[in-house]
Amino acid sequence: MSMAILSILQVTGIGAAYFGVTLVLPWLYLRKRLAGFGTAPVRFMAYFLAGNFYIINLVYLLELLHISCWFTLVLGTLAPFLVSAYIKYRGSFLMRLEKGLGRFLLILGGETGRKTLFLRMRRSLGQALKASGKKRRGCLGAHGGDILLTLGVTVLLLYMYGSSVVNVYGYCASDMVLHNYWINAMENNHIFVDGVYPFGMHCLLYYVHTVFAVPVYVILRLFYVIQAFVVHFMLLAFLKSVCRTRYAPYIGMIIYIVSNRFYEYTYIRYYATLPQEFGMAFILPAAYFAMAFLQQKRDARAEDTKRYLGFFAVSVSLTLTVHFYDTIIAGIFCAAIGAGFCFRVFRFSYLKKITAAGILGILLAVLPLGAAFAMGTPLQASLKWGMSQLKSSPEAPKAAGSSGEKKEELTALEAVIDRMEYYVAYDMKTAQVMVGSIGVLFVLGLLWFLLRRSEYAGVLVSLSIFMAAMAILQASAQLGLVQLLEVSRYSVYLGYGIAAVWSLCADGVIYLLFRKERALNLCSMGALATACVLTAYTGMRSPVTVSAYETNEAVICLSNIIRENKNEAWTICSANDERQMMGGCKNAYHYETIKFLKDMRSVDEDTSIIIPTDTVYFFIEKIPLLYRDYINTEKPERRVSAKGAEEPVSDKPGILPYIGDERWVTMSHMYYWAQAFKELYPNEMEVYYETDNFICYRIRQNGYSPYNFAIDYGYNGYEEKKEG
Amino acid sequence: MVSRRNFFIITILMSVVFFLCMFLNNLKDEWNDYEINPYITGTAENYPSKVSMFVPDSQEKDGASHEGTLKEEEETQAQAGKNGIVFIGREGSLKEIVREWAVCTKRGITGFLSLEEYGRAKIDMASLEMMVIDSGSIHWEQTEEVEFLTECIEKGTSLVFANLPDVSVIRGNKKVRELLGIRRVEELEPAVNGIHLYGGFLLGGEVIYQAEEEEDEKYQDMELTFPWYSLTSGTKVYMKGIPEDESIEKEDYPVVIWRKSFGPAYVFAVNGGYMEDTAGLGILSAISAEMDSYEIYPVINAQNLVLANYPGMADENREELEDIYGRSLRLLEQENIWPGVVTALQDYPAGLTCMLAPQYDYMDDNSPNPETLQYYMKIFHEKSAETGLSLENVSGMPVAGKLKEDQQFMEEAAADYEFSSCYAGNMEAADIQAALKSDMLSAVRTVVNPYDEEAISLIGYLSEHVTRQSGSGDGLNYTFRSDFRMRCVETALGYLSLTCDMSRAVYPEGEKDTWDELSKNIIRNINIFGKNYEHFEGTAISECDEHIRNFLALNFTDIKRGDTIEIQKEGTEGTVWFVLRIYGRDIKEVKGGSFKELEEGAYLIEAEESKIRILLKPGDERYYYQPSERR
Repeated sequence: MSMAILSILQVTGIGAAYFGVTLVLPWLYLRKRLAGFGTAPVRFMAYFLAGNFYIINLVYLLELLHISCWFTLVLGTLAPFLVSAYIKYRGSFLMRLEKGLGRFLLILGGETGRKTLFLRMRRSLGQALKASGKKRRGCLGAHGGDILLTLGVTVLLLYMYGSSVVNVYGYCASDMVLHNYWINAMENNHIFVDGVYPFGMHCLLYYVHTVFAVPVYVILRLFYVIQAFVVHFMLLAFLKSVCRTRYAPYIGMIIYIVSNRFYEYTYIRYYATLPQEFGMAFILPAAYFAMAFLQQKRDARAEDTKRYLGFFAVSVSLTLTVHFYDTIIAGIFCAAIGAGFCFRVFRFSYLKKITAAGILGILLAVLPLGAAFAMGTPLQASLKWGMSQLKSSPEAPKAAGSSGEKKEELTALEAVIDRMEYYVAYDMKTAQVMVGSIGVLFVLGLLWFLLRRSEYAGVLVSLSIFMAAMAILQASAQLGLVQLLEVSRYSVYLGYGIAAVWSLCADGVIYLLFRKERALNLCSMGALATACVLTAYTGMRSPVTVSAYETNEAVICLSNIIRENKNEAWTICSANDERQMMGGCKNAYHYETIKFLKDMRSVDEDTSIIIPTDTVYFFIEKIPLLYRDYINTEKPERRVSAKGAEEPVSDKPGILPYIGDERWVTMSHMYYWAQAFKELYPNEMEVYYETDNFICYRIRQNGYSPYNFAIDYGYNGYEEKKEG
Repeated sequence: MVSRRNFFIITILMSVVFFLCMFLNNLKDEWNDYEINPYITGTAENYPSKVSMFVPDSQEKDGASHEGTLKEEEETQAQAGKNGIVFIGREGSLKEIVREWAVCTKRGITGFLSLEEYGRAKIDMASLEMMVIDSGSIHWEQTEEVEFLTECIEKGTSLVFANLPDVSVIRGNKKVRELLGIRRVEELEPAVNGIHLYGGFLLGGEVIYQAEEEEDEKYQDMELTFPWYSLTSGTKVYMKGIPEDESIEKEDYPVVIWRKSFGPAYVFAVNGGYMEDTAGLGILSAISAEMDSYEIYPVINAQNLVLANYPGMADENREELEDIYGRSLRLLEQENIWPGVVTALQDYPAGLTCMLAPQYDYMDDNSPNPETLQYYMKIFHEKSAETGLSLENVSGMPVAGKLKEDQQFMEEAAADYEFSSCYAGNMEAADIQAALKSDMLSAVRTVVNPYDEEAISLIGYLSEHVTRQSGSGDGLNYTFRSDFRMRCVETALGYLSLTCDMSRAVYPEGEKDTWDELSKNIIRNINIFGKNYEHFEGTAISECDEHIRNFLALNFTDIKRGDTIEIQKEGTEGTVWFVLRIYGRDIKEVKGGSFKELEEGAYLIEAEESKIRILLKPGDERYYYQPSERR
């Protein structure tokens, strides 16, 4: 089977599992309870939030109780349904059972004939189809344009982010291995294995892995597509909920997905399954529910108010549960909403409720982390790194590409535009348009205040203030402000927010000009068409091919090895990443390449490297990867060579021997070791898989008498060379 | 009341049942042409004979090996045959084994007394496949000899040390240790209580020769005393000892057979005397298969069970048999032995041959019963078992006299039956030759000898047209060493001949000779070899004879081109079989023949035509692949 087809099937399966649990099940459970609550996009956000919130906290609870397994997870998932059914049928269960059995007995006894039975079934099926057909026709008539455009957006997203699934099989961010490790540990009910960290995304991925038996490495390498869908559709749902025109929301969406005016860093992280990007899906719902609550007037239904506040709390909780950077951004947005809705937020009845909901959301997220911390689990190192970014001084080193002297002469606005150009926009002109559009949105908001549409104006002003704040924070080093996040991360949020700004700008202007729905629709459609033409004119981007942190061949080999060795013991000797990727496999072991080489640096007759499994695989990159700290699209070109093998094997700790030139040296050594070993064991050392870039050797040995892999391959003894 | 119609139907049904039960059985009896030997398909002259037997190149030249024939002044350009091998060592069983293996695998062989002599002969090393060395013929104290061996390896000739030099030599000479891949001598005589033969070396898979229970200790006769060497890297172990000390790690167990790799060639070492009997044939075949990416060699492909001196036709030794078994000879053989043998064989393909003994004792007054013979011949015929004649008797009557009496009996019982095989027991070759001249044995074309531990050659020609086949194992005895030998013979020749002298059960000399005891060993042997070598063909002795004639006459060449191995066979037009041992490849198709998988990496090829093409599947394919890879 082609790996591309396998990946497509896997991503479809993972998507079905994830959306089934986080959308379909909440819809089944809440559809009657949320009937009439907001528009369809609002309910979409509500179901999605409810599903994620429930699953994450279910996993947290079971993991902290050390009882997490397939059975408890499934039971926990079905618990709300079981409770509802219990409440509903508490008094009448036996009667219903009796009735049902009675009908069944009538069929078995032949009293209900086949014809009658089929007639009844046909009738009920016909009624159901008729009802759904009516609904469908009504829905198509009213929302046909939206459905088509949503499908179009889906296709665009599939093209932009899905095409990578069939081209790149490895992890696309260096820290994914760490996430893999954490999720692997959850299998043993060992949450927070590396310290306390927001585990929201990990809980979800662990859930999909355990309940649907999808290997963790498969989920991690493919979930980014689903993550990209979720993040984009939340943006669309948010815009659909706040815009007054039908098609304006698609303007920002489409430009954001296809325009090449955005700098690569604003979207490249979507190509990796990362908590920060996944958590972005909950920022806009938090903002929407906060704004929706503040848009409520005194005569609003209390039930709706509670729901808005409840989902606001859930959204805030989810941002913090997944990644605390998202909470910071959500916090900034909430502050902006406070400014935009200043006419209402300072009323005590509103203030106390929204503050309480916010605090509750944070408490819900912090509770499991706090419990673990209180039980003695220390904070995870990257959390400390994140904190250090918060504390960093205004004099933080200036970002690369900025010329110190030049920056000193810039005004605040120029500095903001400059940073916008550096991190978010493709060129200065686009940066100016971006900053300008934030200003325009603010002016439009003020205008709508003057026109006494304060609820709508509040949205525009809130978003513009939020975006302005983000743009200023991005230039915090230049402006001498406190740096909240690692500076390059702002660009991801700013790119995401700019799409909303542009949609709302178009919406605000069109809504200013027209009032009638038909005119609004037509005009917004025209605006959308114009935006599409402009995007095509200014340039569209192609899907990015990110340089993965494993070769495609390594992932293909790993998939084959796992498939071929279900009950056998095997070892992979490779550079680091497979160690976690094969985490859940039985009888599977990993041997670090660098340890392997170091163990035979000074080989003599007593040197022994024994790997006591029946099969041992060696992964060797003939063109070693460019293993960088950051996500990149650089392509490696340097081949392993004798020159590389002549260099000493790296003494550096951790994965440093696999980074940069050190990886080339490490792989060169491995390559020449493999050549020498194959000369000694020509039949036993088989080429398992080979391409121009990569080779995997397989050695099948007798477990009772394993081979000694320590040999003199001609480049072991670098010490003499050093001395010489 | 039964209606007429129903009555008629019932009658018809009963008639059908009666017909099925009685009439068909009678028909089967009538149509059983047991009186004609189905294995006689022509005279002995119709089959390949000794004249057509393959003789290795070097032997053809001199009639014997070069050993001792090379004079110092002669700088003969001795040419080893294609895929030639050289033996360095003195005359003896080891040399016989190597020569026999060379004949069986159709290799050229040249023998030299010493390395010095070999050096003078200036053998073309390019055509030399391996050098089998008796360590006793090497002057280990002479550095030049060790260096010469190293030079041979560098030139691509693999060395097989059929035995090792004294431990003091190994301990004291670093170069010898390096040559043999020995890191150090750990112990002189470690306490070992078993031997572990790893899978993938001999055909038949992994075996542990260790008595798990006390009652199994009687089977242990492997060499358990040998020096304990630990090996350097670049080695691969095929057989190890199992020390009594359980705390020792498995990878540190004392080694018995191993390989040291030097890149261009290998050094194989056998720590012990395993090469000095028929086991050597299998070890050499297995070693040869380890030396290259593939190895193809001819095999006999025959699995026989020979019940010698079974059945008896006269009511003999009645008193003793009544005492031991509570029944007469006829009942013992019909109701105990025959059902036991049939049951043991039912799941396995081994062919059965019964060498009947009209009488065991020709001096008593008990005469053989013709009806008994007819009864057995019928059931043998039904089971496709061959009926041969045993030339032995317990009363010491000369074979001529015995044959005379037997002939009289056969004329009375089955006058048309001709024997195509006979069992010679421990008779001298000359006596057998004389016996074969009798009219009764005129159609005999193969003679079976019992299992002999010291026999080197298991098959061959007794005379111009009569073959001999020796048992590769004694079916009535089982020991670990005999098991190992039989595995080796199966590996080298695809041949199993379990001979069982059933007169032991009829004239028991002790408790161990009772059928109850003997049957356990028969069943154990059949179970082990039937299960592990089920893909080899079960043959009656006369069928096996045809296989042997074709095998001995065969010469072949093979060549691998890409994914195809081509075999050109010569010397015989009959069907022959080969074993193909190949690493990491599977057979897709065999043109000019067919194939069966014996085990992972080992195939049995049936060659019907003179040119065979073995098509291999494309290299090991992966289930998941890159979209750019074409499938």
